[in-house]
Amino acid sequence: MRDSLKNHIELRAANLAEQARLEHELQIAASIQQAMLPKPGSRALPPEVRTAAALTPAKQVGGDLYDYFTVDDTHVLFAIADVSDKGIPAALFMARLAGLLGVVATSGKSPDRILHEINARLVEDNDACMFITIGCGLLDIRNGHIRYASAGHDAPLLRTAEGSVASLAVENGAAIGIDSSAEYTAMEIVLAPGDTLVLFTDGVTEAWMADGAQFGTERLVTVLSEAKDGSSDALLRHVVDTVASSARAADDLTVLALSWTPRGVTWNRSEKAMRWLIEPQISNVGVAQTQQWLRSILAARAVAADLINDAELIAEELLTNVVRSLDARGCDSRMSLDCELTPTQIVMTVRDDGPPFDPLALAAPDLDADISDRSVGGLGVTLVRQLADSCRYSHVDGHNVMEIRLHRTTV
Amino acid sequence: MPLEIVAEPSNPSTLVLAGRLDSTTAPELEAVLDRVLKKAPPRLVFDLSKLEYLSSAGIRCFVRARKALEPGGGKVAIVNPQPSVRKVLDIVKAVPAGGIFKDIAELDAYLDEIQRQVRDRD
Repeated sequence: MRDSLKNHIELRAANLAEQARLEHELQIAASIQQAMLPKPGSRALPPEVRTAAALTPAKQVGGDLYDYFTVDDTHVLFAIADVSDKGIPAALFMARLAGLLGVVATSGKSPDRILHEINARLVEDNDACMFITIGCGLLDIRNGHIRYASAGHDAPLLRTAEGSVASLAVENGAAIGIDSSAEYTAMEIVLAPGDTLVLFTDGVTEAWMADGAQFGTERLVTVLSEAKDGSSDALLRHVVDTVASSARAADDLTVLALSWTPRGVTWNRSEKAMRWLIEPQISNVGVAQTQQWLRSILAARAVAADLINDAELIAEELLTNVVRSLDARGCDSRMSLDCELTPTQIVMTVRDDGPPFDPLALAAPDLDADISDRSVGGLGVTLVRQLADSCRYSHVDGHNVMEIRLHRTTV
Repeated sequence: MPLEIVAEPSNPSTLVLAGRLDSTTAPELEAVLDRVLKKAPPRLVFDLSKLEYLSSAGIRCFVRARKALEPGGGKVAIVNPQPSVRKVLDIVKAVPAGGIFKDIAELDAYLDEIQRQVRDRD
């Protein structure tokens, strides 16, 4: 009796020790897994990209993954993934994916190719028959263009600077790890400065509310559109806090928010219109950048291509004139382009603090003159007058102010 | 996409422009024109089928070529501009009516016609 009690105690002690050891190993595994994820500031992203992310595993280790890193001078890759199952097996498979992503994606390939290649490699030797849903995007930091491909993952939500929220129209391919012949298609979107893309795993939408309902995508859309601050940091905090306070996660829960924030562009929203203010450096490079940013803003708001062309042309003509006059002056000056967008029109306002100068007061060049008498210059203002639905010059508070209106043909 | 200029050693002299011709890229075309205009070709063709964007800085190049060649009896022709580029050319009358052709074939037919007229006159 005494012996058996002693045996029992020894066995129990050994079990407890073994359990403690396993627990300890799991903790190490968890910290190794967390170390695979980018920490704030750890990936040295260019200043044009803002990211914010959080991952909460349901168990100590999990099968969710997010990542983002610089691919080359002009591109940043981002991804979110969810391995079938939870716990140790999912964590190991996730580690394989993290490694593959780093290898395959650094080549600068399009996301559909990246998914194709990762899939091909994971299908080999996948005896455990695990699979992964993944969304993967490549952001061009010069113009806010994103190519995005998805393998069975929930479509990301785009919250615009205006505060509207909608799902991306992704064309989902099969989850990766199953079928080596699976094909993926990339779609393209353009972000305007102030827009934020929110990627998530189903741990968010499938978290349980107190009333027994799931959190759901609709609720996530509402939460995002109600947020006052649309920055990636604020949206992430808002989503994570809302889910934590109102629902109980049953699965790994991951959110990744990303926005494009070119230096020199700010934005603000009023009741009637959305405005972007571009303050470029006074140079041809500054003008070209302004054109690019303007084009992205208008493309992101589905403005018709020919109207984007007109707006860009007007901006170039007016700004190159300003650069020429300020360059000649050779001192510390400023210029800006304000782009205001309403459902019916585009209002562009160019301001500079150079000497008072009204380009519209110049005599129009004689376009029908004999070629030998024809002037080579003066054509820019002619273009502006012809392309704009209205243009008005004023001199206000020491600034030249040129206001151009274009009617939108599509809404 | 920046500007790409291909000078085709064909008859007539042809410059194929692709991408964007604006205040940033126009100096590249100006530099090419410095060389081309020195030779005073009787005909200079700008093939714009791959040109996506044109601003006044680019139009100045076309006007400059006309100013250099036309007084000596030369001719500048523009071939196949995309609609957005055509709109800009038309607004500032960069080349006279009849100087823009929808494709190389139309230009060739026109040039053949001129040659025939010259032959008939002789």
